Amino acid sequence: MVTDAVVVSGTGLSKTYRRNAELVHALREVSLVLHPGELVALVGPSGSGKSTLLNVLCGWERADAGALTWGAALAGRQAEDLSWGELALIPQALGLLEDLTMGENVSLPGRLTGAPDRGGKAARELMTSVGIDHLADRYPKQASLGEQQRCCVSRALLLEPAIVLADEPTAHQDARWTEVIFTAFRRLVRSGSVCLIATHNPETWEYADRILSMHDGELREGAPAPVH
Amino acid sequence: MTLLEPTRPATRRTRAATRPRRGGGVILLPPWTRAPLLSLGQPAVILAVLGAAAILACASSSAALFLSSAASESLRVQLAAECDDAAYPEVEQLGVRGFSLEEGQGQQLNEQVSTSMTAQGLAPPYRVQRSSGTVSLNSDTESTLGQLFYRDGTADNIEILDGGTGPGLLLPAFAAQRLDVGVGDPVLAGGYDVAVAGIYQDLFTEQVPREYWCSYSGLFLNEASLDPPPPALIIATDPTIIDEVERLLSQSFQTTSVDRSWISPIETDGITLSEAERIVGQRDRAFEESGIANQFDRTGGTGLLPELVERTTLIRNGLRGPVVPIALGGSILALLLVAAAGSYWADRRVREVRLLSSRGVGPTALAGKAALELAIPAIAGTLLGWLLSQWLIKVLGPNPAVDPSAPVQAAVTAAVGLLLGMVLLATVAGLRARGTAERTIGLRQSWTSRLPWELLLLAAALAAWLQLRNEDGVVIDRNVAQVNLLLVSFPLLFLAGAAVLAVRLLAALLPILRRRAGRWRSAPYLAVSRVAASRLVSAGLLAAVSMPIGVLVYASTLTDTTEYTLAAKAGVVVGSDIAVISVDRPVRSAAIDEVGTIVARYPYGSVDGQDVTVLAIDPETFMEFAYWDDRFADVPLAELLAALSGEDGSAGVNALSMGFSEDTLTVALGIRDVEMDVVARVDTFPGRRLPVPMLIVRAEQLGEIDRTAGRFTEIWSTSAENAVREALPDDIRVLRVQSTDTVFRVANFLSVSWTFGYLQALAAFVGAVAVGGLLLYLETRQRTRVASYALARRMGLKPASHLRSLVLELTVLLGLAFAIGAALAWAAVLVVYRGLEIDPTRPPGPLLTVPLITVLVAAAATVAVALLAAAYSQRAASRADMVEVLRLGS
Repeated sequence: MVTDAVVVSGTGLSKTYRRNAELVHALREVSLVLHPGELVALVGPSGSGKSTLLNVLCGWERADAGALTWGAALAGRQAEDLSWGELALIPQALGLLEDLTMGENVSLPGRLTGAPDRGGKAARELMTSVGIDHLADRYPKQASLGEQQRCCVSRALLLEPAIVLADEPTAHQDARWTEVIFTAFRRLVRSGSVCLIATHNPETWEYADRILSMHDGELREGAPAPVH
Repeated sequence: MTLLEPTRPATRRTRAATRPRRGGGVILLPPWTRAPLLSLGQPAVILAVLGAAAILACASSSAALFLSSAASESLRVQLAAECDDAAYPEVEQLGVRGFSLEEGQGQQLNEQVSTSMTAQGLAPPYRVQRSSGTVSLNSDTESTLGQLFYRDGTADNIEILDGGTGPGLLLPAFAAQRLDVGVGDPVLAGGYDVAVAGIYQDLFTEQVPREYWCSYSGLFLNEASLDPPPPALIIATDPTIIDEVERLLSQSFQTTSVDRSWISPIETDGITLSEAERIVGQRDRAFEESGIANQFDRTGGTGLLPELVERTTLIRNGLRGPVVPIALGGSILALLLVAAAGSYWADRRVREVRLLSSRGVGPTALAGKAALELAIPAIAGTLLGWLLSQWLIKVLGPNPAVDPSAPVQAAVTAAVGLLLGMVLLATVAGLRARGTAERTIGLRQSWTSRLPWELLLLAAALAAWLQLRNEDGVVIDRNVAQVNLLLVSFPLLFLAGAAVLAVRLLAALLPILRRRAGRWRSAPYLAVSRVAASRLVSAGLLAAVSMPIGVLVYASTLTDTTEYTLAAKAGVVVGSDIAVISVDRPVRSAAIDEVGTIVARYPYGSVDGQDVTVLAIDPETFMEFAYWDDRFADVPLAELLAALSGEDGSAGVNALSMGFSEDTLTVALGIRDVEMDVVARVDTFPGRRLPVPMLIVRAEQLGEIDRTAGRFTEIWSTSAENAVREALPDDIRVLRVQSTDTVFRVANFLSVSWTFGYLQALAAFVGAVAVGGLLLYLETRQRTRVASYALARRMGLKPASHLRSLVLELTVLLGLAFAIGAALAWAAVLVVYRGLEIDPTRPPGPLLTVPLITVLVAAAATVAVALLAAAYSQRAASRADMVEVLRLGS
């Protein structure tokens, strides 16, 4: 259930960087507010600034201008200080540890944050829900990209974080597994978390409570205008 | 223009784009035509290939340089033991009894020989002429014997006491006194009437110029006995005087003749074997052209150089046997590093390789592309390695001087290595590139990789060992010790086979370890996970590091054992560092106690007709100065000496026995029979110089033995010779001094220590290869794990934990490798060291010596490499640009 409370709000976020001689405006005075219990789809063409916005939100990149404010339980915190239980990521690169099995990868956040018990039952349930429980003892390289991606999603959801930032989390999924993954996201947001999902796939928009469109570094509410 | 778009007409372009490429034609496309420059954008790849090629070139070219350097050092060591002019090329005409040159013929011969020597490129020779024996020397009233001698420049190397300006003979002072003659007086030398031109200071009483007189010291010194000096050295101011004497001698029935030598000075500092061979050849040709025809085809004196060349060639050939296979082994290992560099290229160029593969480009074309891209750094690396090997030999080799042909040979072998390396590099790059592009998910381990191929190596090692049991570990050829090739091949085969087998067994335990690690803290958990997940790499790393450690420990143990045993043999022969020997009987004094212990030697004793040496020692001072190793006997020296000193309760003299099994012996010493009770037996005892049994007794208990027994009294000392001489009373004459330095001709054993030294160099080299491989592996691993590390940090993995896990992983892996390598090497040493007998005639046998310093340094280096590699890996991980993590594609 979406509330008026604010998990994070960004105001006038701008980010410019230089690519050789060219000046690239990745973010142009972007403002957004994310509320608990909502699943927000971030859509836009490649190079529109989606990944830069996710980087700024997770603290791996600083905006040149503007302010980012965390609210609710995260009030007063800096993005880079947030733990996996507060802010989890699903990057395009997946970032699974090659030396750990799929099961160990999913339960790793629990082990590293001192909650190993969550690595057991919760991890198995999550893996079962996304159809990779039978791959628990396999190494990532012994699984398909789609299976690895679902492992990555399970890892992000393990500690039921307050906010999930996902970059194309269904890029390697078919329609069935896309639905399974978004169902998992929806289950999370029902508990008061917020998911910001960068996606190209218009079929996934239907799972979103809101759609934010990016184009040339500018953000606006709603789906992008159809291209003819 | 796309990546594969050819610069060819449109019609052919269309066909090229629609049909998979299988090499050949693709070579003219931009990814290939521009390939040589493409590597410039990949500094890490350039560095890897450059380093691998340099190591390969270094390994392949080192043998020729090392052999040449060893030959130069062998020459140097042998030359250093001789007089400076001993090796100068010499042409000699030996005198013939009853024969003499005609008047003026001597000068003619001199010009003839000088011309032939200089014509061959030798320096203008100086002339030495001397009587082959003594000639009578008569004054009006007295007579004596003398040896006639002429050498260019003699007058500048003696101290003229009187006269010395005119022609005639120069007499030593003692001869002039004996003949009662002065300057200008006539004397008859072998019947020839000649004036005394001058009188010079007796050479045996002064410090003569060593270089000038060194080779002729036997003419005026008698170091071998206490007899008076040899007959007077009569120096002729002109060689024609000796010619005249010769003419008179030839007409009488005298046996003395005149020998004539022409000696050409050469520069012996830094001389190489090929230079020495060239000089020997020049000398031989000069001799042939000189017209000298010695009776019975004798060549006369040649100088020592031919003998030194022969011995050095023998030493070099003895070294070649083990060195070439070692260099070959090193080159093969270096080729593995080159192959790894090829794999690294495929890894770094993965995106382009995948794209090309997807367009149908086969592994052959990809291999060609890799070869083109990597050719420049490979050639540069080879050049660098070739130069490096020369520098290393110059700095670390036996001798900086190498034959001019050695660098050329080294360059040829380096070029062959480069060729093989390029083929291997390209092949691996091509196959790996294809493998990267077509990776099969969940590929199971092939059955071939499960087979214990290392058992073949162990079987070969077993065969080598069995063969070695029937052969000597060290072969003595014309007094030159040469290492049996099996002594080198056995450990290499054994260490490689056993290390891989041990690692395979350890790797089988990894799953158990991994299961246990699940309950451990993050750092050990991640470390074990990494090791277990990359089992093949971990096992490879273990084997790769244990191998050089094993070779190093093996080679250094045998080197130290050889050197220690050689020193022990010399110590046993001498008894201490030096033995000052006299036929007089010095007695113990405070001064002697300061510098040594007195030992009376009776070398002519017998027991039931069997020769025996009896040493009468002073137990109170013996222990302080005698050479001793606890392995000489089952009990410590102190106990042996106490047994000698103890009351025996019988009438016999207490004795330590070396070589007798009886408990009581009757020893004939001179006219006396001495009853001896054997109180202890020893395997070896200092002072043993003859291969006969030895009995050691307390001098005090033995008492006085008559002179007919033949006795030498020796002061065994660890001090300098002069200190011992000063401690002796004035009336004690020194017969000779023996020291450990002079027991062996060191050059004869050089090839043994050099062989193992080269093996140690190989070990260091393999270690460098292993470290290079480790860094390549870590670099590759860390680069591909940027995203996972960044996310793991986000999940709560602290950098310190990550570093701890790396340190744990690498120190445990390398530490284990060290333990495996050292343990296997020790096992190999125990199997072979008894065969390392470098002189069976002299005890003790091989004394196993632990190279403690080498082992400690290797252990420290292993730990340092582990820590530095961990720090390097951590730094590589920490440098990850987080901003890029979310952008990276999978």
